[in-house]
Amino acid sequence: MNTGVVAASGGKSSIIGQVPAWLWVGIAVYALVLVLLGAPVLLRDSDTYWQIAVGQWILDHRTLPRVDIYSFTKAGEPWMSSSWLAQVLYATSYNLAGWTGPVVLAASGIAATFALLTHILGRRVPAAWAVGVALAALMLSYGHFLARPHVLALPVMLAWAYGLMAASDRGEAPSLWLLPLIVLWANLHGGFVFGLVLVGAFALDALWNADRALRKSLALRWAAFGVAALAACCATPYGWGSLLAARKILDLGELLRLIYEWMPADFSRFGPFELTILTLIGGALYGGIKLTPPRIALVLGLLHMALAHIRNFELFALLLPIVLLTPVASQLALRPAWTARAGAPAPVMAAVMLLLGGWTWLLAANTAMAVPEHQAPAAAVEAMRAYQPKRVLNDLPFGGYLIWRQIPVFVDGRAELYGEAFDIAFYRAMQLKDVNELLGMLKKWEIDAVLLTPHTPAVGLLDRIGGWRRVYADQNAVLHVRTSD
Amino acid sequence: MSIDATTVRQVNASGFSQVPAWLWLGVGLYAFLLFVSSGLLNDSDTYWQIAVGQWILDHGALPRVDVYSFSMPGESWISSSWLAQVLYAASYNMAGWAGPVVVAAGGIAATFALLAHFLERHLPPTHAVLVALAAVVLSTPHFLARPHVLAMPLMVAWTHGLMTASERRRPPSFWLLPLIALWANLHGGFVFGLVLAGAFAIDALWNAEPSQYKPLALRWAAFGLAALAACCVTPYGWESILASRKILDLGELLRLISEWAPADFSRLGSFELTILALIAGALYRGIRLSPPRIALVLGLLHMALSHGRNLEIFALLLPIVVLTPVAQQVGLQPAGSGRVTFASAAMLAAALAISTWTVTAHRTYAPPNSQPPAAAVDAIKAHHLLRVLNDRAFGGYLIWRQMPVFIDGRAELYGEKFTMAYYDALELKDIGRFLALLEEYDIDGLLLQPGTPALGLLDHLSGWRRVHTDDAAILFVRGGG
Repeated sequence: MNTGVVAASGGKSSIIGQVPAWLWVGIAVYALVLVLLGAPVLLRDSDTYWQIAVGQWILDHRTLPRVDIYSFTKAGEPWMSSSWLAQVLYATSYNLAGWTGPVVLAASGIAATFALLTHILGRRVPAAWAVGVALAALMLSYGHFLARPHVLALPVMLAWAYGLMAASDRGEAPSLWLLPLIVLWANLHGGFVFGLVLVGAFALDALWNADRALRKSLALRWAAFGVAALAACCATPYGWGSLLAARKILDLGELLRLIYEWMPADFSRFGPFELTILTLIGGALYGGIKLTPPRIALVLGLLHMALAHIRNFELFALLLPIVLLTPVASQLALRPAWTARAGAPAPVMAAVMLLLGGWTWLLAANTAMAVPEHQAPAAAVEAMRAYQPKRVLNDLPFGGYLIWRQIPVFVDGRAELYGEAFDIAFYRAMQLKDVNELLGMLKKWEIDAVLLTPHTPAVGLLDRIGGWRRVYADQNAVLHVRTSD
Repeated sequence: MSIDATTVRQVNASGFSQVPAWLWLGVGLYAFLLFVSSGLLNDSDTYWQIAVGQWILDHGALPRVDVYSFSMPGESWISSSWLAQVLYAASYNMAGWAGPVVVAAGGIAATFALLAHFLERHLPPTHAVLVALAAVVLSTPHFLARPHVLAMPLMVAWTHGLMTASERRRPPSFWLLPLIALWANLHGGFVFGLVLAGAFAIDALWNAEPSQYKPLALRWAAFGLAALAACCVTPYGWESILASRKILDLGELLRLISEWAPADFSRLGSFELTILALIAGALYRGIRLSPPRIALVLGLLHMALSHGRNLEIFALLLPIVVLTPVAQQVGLQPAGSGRVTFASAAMLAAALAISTWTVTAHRTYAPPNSQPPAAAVDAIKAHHLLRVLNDRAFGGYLIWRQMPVFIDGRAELYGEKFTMAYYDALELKDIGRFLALLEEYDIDGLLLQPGTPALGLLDHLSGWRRVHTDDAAILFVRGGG
């Protein structure tokens, strides 16, 4: 009897003991994202609406969109959906499980990313360091955790970067088995071009580390890999059009200062980013850390990207540890937590997946997941239908929901479709930077209804000038219609 | 006879070639600012600084309440930069606008010459001058004829004094105290000097032998108290210290005033390049610093990131903080470029004075034409308006023309709430509150810059009409549309 109990308890502890630290991190991040953040955070961007709508259109028509069909301002303009695979995944998950689907999909992508990061780090540094760095990266990135294509591309990006770094450290060219990763990335999210930049950066790093005699052949092999990666990027339904489309988002100039996620880093309050930078600088100065010039270039490049645009924080948070891993580990003489072969035994993984799946199903059954009302003003749109307007000028956050309700929109989140000039004119008009521009816009597009968020300055103007009257207002939206004079 | 001439010529020649690099830097910077001075008078705050200085000279006393605005009449207000204002006013009386330009240029040149001089004690002259020039490039946006440029040389000297004392394992000399007393009368930023004393005290304790901790700590503490007392050697007494706190309480407002706004990384600017270059250099060489020095570096970086105006503090003090450790680790030796002999200093001073006289006699200095709304102010007088809601940028000029202002550059007087309401109103963030503001303060005219959003609204409202438009300003008065 006693032996049996001991044996049973010994067996139980060994199963829990067999769950590696990186898997714990994955489980914890998954749970945290679902419970602490959940639908109110992951679904807080109305872009999710049109991402799913486009995914549904692709599933229905079995082809990819080539022109815009959702707006009346840019109807028929050429438009590519560079994230088509992510959109299809989100649409399918929505069809299977309602809003829970996209939420779980996004949470899984995020959890996989940080589990992978912890696993990679643990190959060179102790477990406590690996988990600590992963948590710090989590703190920096959580502002951009949304049910949108980029979170599905994060684990792919991380694996790609690690593959390149490991090849450089071994003094070899990257294995061609990495190429499927960038093919997947190119179909998931337009940011894949950065993967090509990383190839160049790590190629320089490999050449710096190599012996003089080997440099030429190594350079040729990395160049061949680079060309193969470029070709792999074209393995999308749009072919090399994807590469051109990815450039368009960078041409948005001034507009990038206005879209929240493209704004430069904000140091008016002491936030996690400033804390991270100061800690890293302090640590480097205290330890006298030394890096080779190619690694320094990578560090500076990632830092510059994060300073220039907030949305790059996650790139900085995930890739900086990869870049610094080997030099810092060797200079501080740290010992790895586990070997490269350390995975989780199959029964353990199966048990974990099963448990997580069951828990998710229970959670979904007890929580109603929906898009927050300030992005989905259902009541205001119902009120609007009564007036049967032909052309509605909508505020930017409502674009996605209106597409969802199959109402033609004036503008939505697809900045690369509308372009810098149009979007900036829209912002200036809404903020009343130039009152005449707003009035001109209303006239030119023959707008008969205006649906705005309550604190938009333009609301105050429409309340006070002739030709418009307020017909509906709640805490999410205000509706004005043209009065017939 | 000829022997004497040769000797004199030789003395002259060696006198000039022995002028050290830092002195050439100072002279060069001074000359450059005199010739290309377009930036020094760019800030309309200069107008009211001189106006206040003139008031102090006229009344022989310091202001204690505000006398310039109609929105905050009688509010208590301290002019913490009184000595700088008096200097600017006196120089204006002597030489017109050239006066403040010469004073400001002198202050700026002295600052960077002093910095280069201190750097030359540990670095070769070329390195010292290059670092000082980099500091110049970073600080250029804040080169204005305002009190802070007169306080900058004192800040550099104060910091260097504290640093050398810490490295020599002695308490700072009491001869530093007059520096902070002077600083406290020149500019409200002197409180930072006290913070630096604390930071270097910790640095000193870190450098010291364990047996010396207690006596050294006590002597640094005594110096700190003496410095605090020295800060009160102003006509306002200890009120100066309280007043300088007020500017830090401005909360949200600090994002909107351009010099208080946080560092902007939307374009790759000189600040970002400097940070990246410093990080690259530190990582390439594996530079190591002691924890108190790391804390100083991080503190200066944090200050520069939070407020653009702190960029010059970062640029001037960072070299001093990292000077000794970096020079040691990189293996740089001072080369001891020439010493300043009395003869060469006297010749240089004479040359500077003569060239100043000549240049200022032939150049006219004036604040830029685009800023002062001279014609619009004439229109205000013509319409007999008493309560004009003016754009903040015009506040200084209106004080200069002795017109009552709604708001001006003295942020600590108007406070966060009032100034934020003003900004929200002009940007039309809430039209209802804008119209209520016009009623509350009984406004009879508006003087705005072209491109202000409120213009578009006023053009469409009955009850206001445009009476003057030019490139500088637009004037609205009440009246039927």
